[in-house]
Amino acid sequence: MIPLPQTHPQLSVHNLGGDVFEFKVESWRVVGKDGRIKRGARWWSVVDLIVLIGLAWIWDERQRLLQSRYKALALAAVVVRYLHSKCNHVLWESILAFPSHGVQLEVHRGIPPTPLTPPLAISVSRRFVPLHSVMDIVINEGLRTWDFRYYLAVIRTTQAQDSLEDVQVEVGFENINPPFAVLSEVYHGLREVLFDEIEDSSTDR
Amino acid sequence: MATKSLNIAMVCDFFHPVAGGVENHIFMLASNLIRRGHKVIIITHSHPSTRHGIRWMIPGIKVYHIPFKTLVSSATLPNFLTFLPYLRPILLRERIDLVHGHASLSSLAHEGILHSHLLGARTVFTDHSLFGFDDATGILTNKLLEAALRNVDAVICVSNTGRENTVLRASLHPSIAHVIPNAVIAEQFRPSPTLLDTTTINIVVVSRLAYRKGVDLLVATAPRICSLFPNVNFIVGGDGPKLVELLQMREKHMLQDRITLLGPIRHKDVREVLIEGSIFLNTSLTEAFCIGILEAACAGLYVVSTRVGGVPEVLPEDMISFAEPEEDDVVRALSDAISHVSRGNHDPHKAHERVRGMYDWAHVAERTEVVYRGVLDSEPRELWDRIKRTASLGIFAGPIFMIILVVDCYFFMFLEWLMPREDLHYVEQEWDTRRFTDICRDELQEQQA
Repeated sequence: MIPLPQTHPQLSVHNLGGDVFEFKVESWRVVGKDGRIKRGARWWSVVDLIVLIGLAWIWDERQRLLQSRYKALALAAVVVRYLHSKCNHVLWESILAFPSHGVQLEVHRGIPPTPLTPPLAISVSRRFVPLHSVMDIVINEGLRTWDFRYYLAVIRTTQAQDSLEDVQVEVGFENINPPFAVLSEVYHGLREVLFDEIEDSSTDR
Repeated sequence: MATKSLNIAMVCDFFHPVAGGVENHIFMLASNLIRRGHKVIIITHSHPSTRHGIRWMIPGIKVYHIPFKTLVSSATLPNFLTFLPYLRPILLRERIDLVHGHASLSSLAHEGILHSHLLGARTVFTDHSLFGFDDATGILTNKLLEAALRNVDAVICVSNTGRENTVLRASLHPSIAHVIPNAVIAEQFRPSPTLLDTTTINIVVVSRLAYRKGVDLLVATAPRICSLFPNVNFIVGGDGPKLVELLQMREKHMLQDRITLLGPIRHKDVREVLIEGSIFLNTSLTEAFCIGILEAACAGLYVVSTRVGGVPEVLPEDMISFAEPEEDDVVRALSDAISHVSRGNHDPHKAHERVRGMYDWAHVAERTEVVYRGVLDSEPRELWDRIKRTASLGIFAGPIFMIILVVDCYFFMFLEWLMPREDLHYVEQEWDTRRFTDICRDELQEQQA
């Protein structure tokens, strides 16, 4: 189900069986009135051009480079790092709501889509917050480098025993940072599933 | 008559959690403008360890704390270009119509006025202090002020003396300078309900104990008054670099039981200190408005003050005695005040009612809104006009500030490419006062139930 098909089609809500809901935000968005798609993760970038030029230079110098073990190791490290960054683009982020159990925040990474291939998800990182730890779910505004953005936060009691703070903040959709309309849908959906709060449109601003 | 509500951004280095006159002025003006239906946000610098980013203050003021390091007493260094990347998203996402800068020593305010034209916002500046022309502070800051106010749309000063001072310092055209005095919340400064004993007269002094507040005059006159009038005591509240001299004076003349030093006083406790006395003494060497004497008069005290700056404009002549800023005249004025009060000629409650009728923050907000509307109705200056005006600042200052202005424009173009407007998170929900009131009422009912 896509709650905002005209303005924000990157948000989709899935029912995973029973009452479990997944709020999935993909890393592309629609800009402008003509519906131009702007990708958050592109399969190519300027770095690739530099790498191509680098490869050409390495092929030229391959005899000299492979003679020294340290140079070869350094080269291998650079290649591994480059391949890792290529496979580590954020494809989509989800928040899963398990009624009476808790909330799960997921980040799915992998190879971004090319004109010929669909996105290929390689790794997932998940954080689960049990319902008894969840103190509140809020939308707040915060400073991120030079910009002030809306973010969705799950406020929970601290995990670590020796921490000075009483609460900890888990931010949802941290990498993609969708706009307020998307966060508002997810916020109301989460509160409806987890806390049984049904907002009717008269009190909703 | 345009009745559209305005989106106003107040920019100043000096804001809460630091306490002070400028801070209080900004807060009260913002609160009353919100009461008139406008939206007000405040942009200031951050405070270490906890206060960064966005905070909300009652009655619905959004405060942006920008992470800049402070130097001394809450002032930041002028960094003309590094403020633009923070200011641009704020003014765009809040859809700000007008930027109002406060305080000549606030570099954030100057920069806010410099950058606003790029973002389609008009500018107003309020000057809260007087400065000299021949001292080092004056020479440096006056040029910076002149450069900042070269292209401002309106300037507000807190007294007629302040207006003359600002117009001369910044070489302004007098038609853009307005006078809107400060005000006081009369309910917070009610006089004491019980009549004070007239056998002992307490003279109250509440101020920052710094040089420009005339602490040296106090140190010179207090022992003389104590010896002339055995029934007069001093109560001194406040802290500062000159506290040591007061302590030394007290020791030297053995006046420990006649002069009480209270140390730093919080603003909410000032009234309790004031109502212990019958006379308020202000010995400032320079003062644009002096809110302290207004608070004291509101609390029913008879005021004795040095005749400096904008002080003569604050109170009617029968509520205040003036003295020249020298020892003999202050003693003379205090003696007159003591005999005036001893004879029972000063009625605290009548004084309070008069001050209540004269000063009101709602009027300040109303008059400020008139200035805003006038600014918004006028035509904004073109870029070429701004460049020409900036070039006329002087032989050296002109080219320097012109370069800053042009580089600012290029930096703005770069930021438009780096952080495009389509990616900004525009503010979708504003503070709803009615809904907040409803929630508070429900909470109260739940608690009482």
